[in-house]
Amino acid sequence: MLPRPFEYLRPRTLEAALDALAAGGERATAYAGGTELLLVLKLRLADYDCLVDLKRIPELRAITTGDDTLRIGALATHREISRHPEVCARAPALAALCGEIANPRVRASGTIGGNLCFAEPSADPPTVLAALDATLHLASRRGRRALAADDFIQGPLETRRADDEILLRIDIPAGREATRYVRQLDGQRALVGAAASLPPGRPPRVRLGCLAARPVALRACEAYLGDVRQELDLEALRRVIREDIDRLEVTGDGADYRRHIAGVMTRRAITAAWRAAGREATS
Amino acid sequence: MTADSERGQPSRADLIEKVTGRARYVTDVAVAGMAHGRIHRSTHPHARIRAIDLAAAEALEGVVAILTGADLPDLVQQVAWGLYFNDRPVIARDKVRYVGEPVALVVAETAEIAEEAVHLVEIDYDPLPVVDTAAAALLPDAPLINEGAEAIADFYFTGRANPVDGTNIFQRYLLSEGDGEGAEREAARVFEHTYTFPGIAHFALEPHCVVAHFDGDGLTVWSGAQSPSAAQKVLARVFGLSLGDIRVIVPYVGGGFGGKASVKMEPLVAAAALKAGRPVRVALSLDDSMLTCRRLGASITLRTGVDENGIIVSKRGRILLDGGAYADTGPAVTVKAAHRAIGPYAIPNLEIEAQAAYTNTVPGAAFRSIGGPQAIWATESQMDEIALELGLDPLEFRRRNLLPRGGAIISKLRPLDVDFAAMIDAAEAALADLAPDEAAAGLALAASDPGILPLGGAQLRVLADGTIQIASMSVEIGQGVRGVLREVAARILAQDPAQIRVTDPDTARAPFDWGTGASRSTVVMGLAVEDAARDARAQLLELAAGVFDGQPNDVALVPGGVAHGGETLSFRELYHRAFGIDSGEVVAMGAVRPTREGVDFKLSPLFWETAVGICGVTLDEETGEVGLTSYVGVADIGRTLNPIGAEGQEEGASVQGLGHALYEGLRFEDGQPVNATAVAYRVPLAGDVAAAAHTVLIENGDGPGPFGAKGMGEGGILPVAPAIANALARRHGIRLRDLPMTPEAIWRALEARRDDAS
Repeated sequence: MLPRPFEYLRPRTLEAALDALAAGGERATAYAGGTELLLVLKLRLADYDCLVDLKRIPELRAITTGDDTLRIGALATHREISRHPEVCARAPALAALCGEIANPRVRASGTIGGNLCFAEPSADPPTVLAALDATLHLASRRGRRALAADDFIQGPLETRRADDEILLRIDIPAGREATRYVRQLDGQRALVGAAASLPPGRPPRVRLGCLAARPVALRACEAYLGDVRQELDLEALRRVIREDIDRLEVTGDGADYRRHIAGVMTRRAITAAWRAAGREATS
Repeated sequence: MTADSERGQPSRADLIEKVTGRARYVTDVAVAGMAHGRIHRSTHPHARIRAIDLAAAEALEGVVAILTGADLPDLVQQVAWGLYFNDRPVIARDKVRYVGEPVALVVAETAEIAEEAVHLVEIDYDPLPVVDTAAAALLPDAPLINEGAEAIADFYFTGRANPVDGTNIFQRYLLSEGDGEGAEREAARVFEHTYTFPGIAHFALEPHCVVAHFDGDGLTVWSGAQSPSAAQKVLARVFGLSLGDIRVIVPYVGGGFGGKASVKMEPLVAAAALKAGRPVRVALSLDDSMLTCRRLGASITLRTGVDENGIIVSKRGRILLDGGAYADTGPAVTVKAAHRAIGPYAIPNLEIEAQAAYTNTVPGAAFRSIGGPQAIWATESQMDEIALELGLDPLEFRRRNLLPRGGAIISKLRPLDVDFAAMIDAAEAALADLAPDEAAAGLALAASDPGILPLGGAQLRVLADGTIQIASMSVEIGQGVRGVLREVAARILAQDPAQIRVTDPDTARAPFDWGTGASRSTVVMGLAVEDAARDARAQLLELAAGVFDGQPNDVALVPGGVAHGGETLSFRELYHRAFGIDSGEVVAMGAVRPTREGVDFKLSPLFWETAVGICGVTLDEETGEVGLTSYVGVADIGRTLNPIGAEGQEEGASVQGLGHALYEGLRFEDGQPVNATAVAYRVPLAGDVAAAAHTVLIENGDGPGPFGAKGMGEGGILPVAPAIANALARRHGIRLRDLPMTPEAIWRALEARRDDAS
C-alpha cells in the first residue's frame, strides 16, 4: 500500500504545468484531488515517474458565469460545486450529485476534473455532464481544444485527453435546470446511474451511466420525450426505455439485474426531470 | 444519566486521550534502531514453492534482511504454531495454502524501501489443486491442505479438537441429547431448511501492527493483541524462550472484534526481528488485514420436528464451517456454533453435527460471538418459517417453546439465567413506543454461551497522592473496559474514577489473564479488580486503624483518604503517619480462578449472553433495496456499570450485525479473493443505521460479575440478520436463506414470488 517513488512537481502557473506534462510524456500525469490517482498508485495499479500537482493554479479552480454559460474549473472540488449558488441554481442535478458523491473526505478533496479524467466506469459525473450537454475545454503546449462531454470518455479509465493535456474547465449551457440524475448505489459506488435533461426549446437528453464502458445516449427515450406535448404516459415511457436498454450489451454476473435497474433508474430520472420542468404525467 | 457524568467526569477512561489524539496505539511505537518490514504474499491459493529468488530484492539499498521459510529451521525452535494444531508455519515453507499467505518478509531501513523490495521478490510456484469451499473440502478426492499437523490439547481453549484423519476436517463435534431421530419419527411435522453464511472480514479500522525487539536475552513485542498471554505463550514455544523473558505490551487497540484474538502476526514479526538483528515494525494495511483472518463461513441444515400443538420435539442439524487454510480457533467456533444453533427453547431431543474443514482461503478466526451469527441466522430464520407454515404468529410459536429461566438448553451447560418472556415483552413495549406502526416487524432471539475461562488477575496500587493504578491484561479495544474497571474500583474504594488509571496491558507488569474476548472482561477482570479493591480497602482501613488508634470498622474510606470520627486524613497524610515519610503505597491483588468460592465457575458458560432484536424494514420492491426503519435490541446484562458504554456496545454490535445481514461477505473464486480490499468490501455506513433505534438493558443484579453484572458486547450482533429476513418474509412474502441479503438477491426473490403469483 505504498506507491513507487515518484517526482512531485507543484507548478504555480498553467504554462509551467503544461511544460512539465509535455516534458514528462506518458510517464507524467496531472494530479488534482488525488482521491483516485493516489489510491491506484498505492495499490500499484498505476505507475508514474512524475506527478504534476495542479492545486496551486488558482484559475483552474474558479466557478464563474458569463454568456449564460456556467463555467466550472476542473479543479473545483465536489464540495465546492455542491455549495456554489450558481451551480445550485443552473445545474441543480450536478450540485445535488456533488453533494452526495462518495463520502465527505472525498468530496472535500476530489475534483470534478479529476473524476472525469480518471474515467472510472462507476463514476457519476460523466453521465450528468453528458445529459447537461457540457463542453470540456483542454489545453496543451500544442494548443487548446473543446470536446463535447459525450465524446470525452472512451472506455474504462480511457478518455480522449492526451498525456500532455490538462482539462481546464467544464462549460454548461443555459436552460438546464430541468435535469435530474438518479442512481442506485452499491456501497459508495453507483451500480447504475441515469440522467435526463429537458431543456426548453431544445431536444431532450437522456444518458445512462455505469452500465456500459461509458455513458450512453438513450435515443428512443429522447425521441419519445421530444414528441410528447402534454402529459407523460408512463406505459409508453416504459416501452421506449425497454427498447433502449434491450439494445445495450450488458455482460457479467447479474447482468439481468443491472439491466432491470437501468430501466428503473431511467424511468425515475425522466419522471423527476419531467416534474422539475413543471409538466404532468399519467400512469 | 451516568454515575460518572453526575460526578462531572467523562464516563470513558479513554475519552479525552482519544478525542484529543493523544492516545497511543501500536503504530505510534518507535524503538531505537527499528527497521520496517513488508510482506510478500502468496498469489496462489495452493501451490508448492519451487524456488524463491531474493537477489534483486536483496540488492536494493536499504534492505536489511529478508525472512523466508528457508530460514526457519535454524532460526526458531518450533517451525509451526497454532492453538489446536501446530499447523501454521511462522512463514510459508514448502507450500502456500491461501492467497495472501506470507512467503517473504522484507526488512528495510524504511517501509518504502521494504515495499519496493517486496515487489522484486520472485517466487516460482508449482500449483496444486485448489479447495475453494468447505463442501469441496469434503469430497473424497479433495487434496489435503494440512497433513499431519501436531494436535495440541488444553493450549488456549480447554480440550482438544477432534479431526477426521485423512480428510480436511479439522473438527467434528457431535451434540446429542435425548433421541433426535426417534422423536423426529413421532413428530407431526418435520421442517428442513438450509441456510448459508459467508466468511466476513473483521474490518477493524486499525489494521494489525506489531513491533518486535529482541533485547538482551529477552523479546519485547508491542502488538494490538486481544490475547497477550496467548501471544506470549506461542512466542515462548516458537523461539524457545521462557515466559519470563517475553514481554507483550498492548497499548490502545483500534478495534479487534476477534481478529486480533489468539495469535496472529506476532511470531512472524518476531522471527523477522531475530533474523534482522534489529527491532522490526510491521504495520499492515486494511487490505492486508483482510488477508490475515476472517469469520468462518457456514452452511447449516436444520431439521426441526414439531408436534400437533406447535411444540418443538426434535432438532437435528448439520453445520459445516469453512475454516480456511489454518485451524486457528476454528475448533472452538465449531462447538459454539452447535450450542448457539439451539436457541432459548425447550427442545428435549437434539442431534447436531458440526464440522469445520480446511480450505485454500484466508484462515478463519474468532469474531464477535464465535459461531453465533452463523447459527442464529439459521435457527431464527427457521423458527419463522415453521411458524408461518403452521399458521402461527412467529412470536406465539416462540412463546410456546421458550425455555423458562433455570431450564437447560443442553444438560452440560449452565441453566438459562434470564427470562426471555420478559425480554420479549420489553422489546415489544420499546418498539411500540419507538415505531407504533411496526407491529408486524421481524423478530429474532439469541442465547449464546460466552465467558470463556475464569482465569485472570489484577494488581491495584493506591499511591501516596491518591491516584490509583490498576495493572490488568484486559485490552482496551474500544469497548470501554478501562472505564468499567475503574468504575468497579471507584465504587469499592469510594474514590473519584478520575483518580484511577488503568495502565496499558503489559505481561511484565500485570497478572495473567486469558484474553479480551467472549464478553468475559467485565465479569472475570471485573471480579479480579473488585477483589483487589477490597484487599486495598482492608489494608487502608488497617493502616488507618493503627494511625487513629481505633478499629478498622471505625474507619471509612472517603474520596482522597480516610475518615475516623470527625477527622479526615489524605492518603499521603495516612502514609506519612504510618510509614514515617510521606511516600509509599498500598499494593493489592485480585485473582479469579475456576475454583472461586461462592460461585460455580467450573460450569460453562459463566453466564448466558442473550439478545432479542425486533426491526421494521422498508423495501423498494423495484430495486430490492432494503432499509432499516427501526431497531430495538434487548439484552439482560445483570447490572449496567456504564450505561452509555453498554448501549454503545449493544448498538455497535447490531450495526455490525446489519453489515452481516445486508452487505458483507468475502468472495473467493478458485481461491482468489474477489473483494478483499477496503475499496471493494462494503461495510455499514452511518446512513444505513436505523433511523429509530433503541436499546433496553435488563438489570436484575443476578450476574456473576461485580455488583451482579453479566458480560456483554457480543449479543447485539446475533439477532439482526434473521430479524430482517423475518420482516421481509412477513411484510413482503420472500424468504432469503443466504447472506448477505443484497438488493440483487432480494430482487430475485421478489421475481420468484411474482412468478409464483402469476
